[in-house]
Amino acid sequence: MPSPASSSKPGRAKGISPVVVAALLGTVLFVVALLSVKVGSTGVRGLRQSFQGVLSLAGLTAPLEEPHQTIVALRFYRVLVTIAVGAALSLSGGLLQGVFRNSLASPSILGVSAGASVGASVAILLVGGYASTLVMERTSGFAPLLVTGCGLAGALITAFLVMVLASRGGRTSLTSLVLVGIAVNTFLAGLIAAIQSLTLPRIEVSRAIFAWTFGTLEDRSGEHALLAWGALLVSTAVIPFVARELDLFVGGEEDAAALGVRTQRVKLLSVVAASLAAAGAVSVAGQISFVGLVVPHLLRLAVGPSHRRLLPLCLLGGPVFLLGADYLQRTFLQEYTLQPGILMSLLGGPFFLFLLVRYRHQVRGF
Amino acid sequence: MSLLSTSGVEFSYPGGVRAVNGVSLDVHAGELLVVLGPNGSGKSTLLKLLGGLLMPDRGDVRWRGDPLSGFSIRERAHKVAVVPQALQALPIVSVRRFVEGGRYSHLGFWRQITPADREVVERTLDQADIADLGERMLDELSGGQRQRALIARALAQESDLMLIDEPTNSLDPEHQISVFQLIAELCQGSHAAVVVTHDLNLASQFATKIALLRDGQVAAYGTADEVLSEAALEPVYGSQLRYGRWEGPGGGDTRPFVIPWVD
Repeated sequence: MPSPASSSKPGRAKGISPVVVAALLGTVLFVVALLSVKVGSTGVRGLRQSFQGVLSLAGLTAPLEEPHQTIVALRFYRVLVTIAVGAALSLSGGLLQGVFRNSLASPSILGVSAGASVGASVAILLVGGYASTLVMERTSGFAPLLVTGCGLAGALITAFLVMVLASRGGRTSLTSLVLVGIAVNTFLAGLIAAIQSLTLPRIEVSRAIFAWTFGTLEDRSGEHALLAWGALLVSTAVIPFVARELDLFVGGEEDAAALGVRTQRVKLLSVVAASLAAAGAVSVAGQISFVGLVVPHLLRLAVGPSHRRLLPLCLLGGPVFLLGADYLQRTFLQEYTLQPGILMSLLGGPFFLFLLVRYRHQVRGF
Repeated sequence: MSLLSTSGVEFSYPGGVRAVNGVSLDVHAGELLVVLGPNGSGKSTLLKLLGGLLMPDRGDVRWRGDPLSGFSIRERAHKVAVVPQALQALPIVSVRRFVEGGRYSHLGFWRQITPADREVVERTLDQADIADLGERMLDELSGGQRQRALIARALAQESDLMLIDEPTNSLDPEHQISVFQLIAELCQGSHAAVVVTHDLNLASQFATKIALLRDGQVAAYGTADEVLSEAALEPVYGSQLRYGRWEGPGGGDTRPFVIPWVD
């Protein structure tokens, strides 16, 4: 059965020039980032004031008067974190779709995000909880590392579990992928619910974990930004070593091996990088679904299926999608603003259904 | 010295079915070795063992005397190119990009295609007679053109030996012949090919040597005259084959032909 990643009618190789798409996304990202630093629930700051506030964070100018400096700093970190989270989730999706040779793979559908959440929840239990807004306790210096580390372990274990369960002879069928994803997601959701239920008496831990499942981009700090960017940069570093290889995977792993591709290494690198990116994103922003599914798919429609174009563009497309959606809802919904995890589920759920309907001829056994 | 040799190669799939059972073969430079045999006789498995895509349970596969398993995956791709019967899914790429895939094992650290690689790709497109199809999408090609694209990609690996699995499946007779002509042209000098096929008559016309497999073992090995005989084929294919000889132009070079026929 050909997978949608490889045989979809849209996404012809030629598509729009990737340079044009990159320039367009880069411009939109710059503008939205600028607007996001200027605008927030505490009103609008001038462009010059916002710039000065950001520059002072790097020690280049004097800080603004309080509370303006704090407000600009919080917005700036929020933007930084959102960019990293959007990029990480869509890169993660792009890598997983390449490895599974299936455009319905994504960190949330395969349960990788939920795995990271379980790992992070366990770490929160060990640390004794964050404040309810998920701001990491600065006093416990190892807490961020522990949460990311446990998140990564959870993501990796889940990714490999799904890969083993859903693959047969190196080939992953769409049906088994979705079914295994459902089963694993259900089990992991049960685990998170169990942890929440058991920690109900410890309200700060319980609230921290509860808030986690919605995803949040509020009150992000420099540490959050560092963590998310660190995980993203490490994951990004694998792109040159897997992109061409994943293109050769389309004909089958055996075919790629015959051409000289070290298939096991490519699979391992891709899955570890995808898990690290997802774990980094989840550990600073909680569970945000569907970015990893939607963004690579839209980009594939624009520039074609080559991973050498797709993966780098995920780094721009993800932030534009997440930051743009977040900015739009904060501008238009104001006090009714939703947590990003909820917003993405509301947008991504119907999109996933659209994909399932579109590829329904391949999910007959579903 | 032979390019590739196997001695006593055995291979079983998980579950215990022994697909290849003690095969010893030599492939020499300039040779076009055709592997014949009924369905399930182990032809495709043998091809994968020769290409290093499967590791034998017993026996060994040697490249110019050295164990093939001793080479890295990339080194192996420089020596042996495998043309599969079909790809699991067709990449949505142009023929030129597809053939570039054959250069993978030659690429440097950053996996960039160099002008030298592009030259090789253009040359192989030309050799496979699909130079005018370079910008066509792979899924728009006819069966025969697609087979040529697969062969062009293998040629781009610049290996000495090509292992080709049923290249004429679902092709009309004209394209069957043209694909075999192309393969025969490629088996010059230091180059050789091993071709798995069901077509006894194409084997008769183009093979320099034929290996006939039955139940994972070599039932007969030799020239077309030696293997395409009733004595060799009947134990393998049964009695519903009829045998004859075809006189080439001028009547000098006669070849055996075999047709399935029920009286």
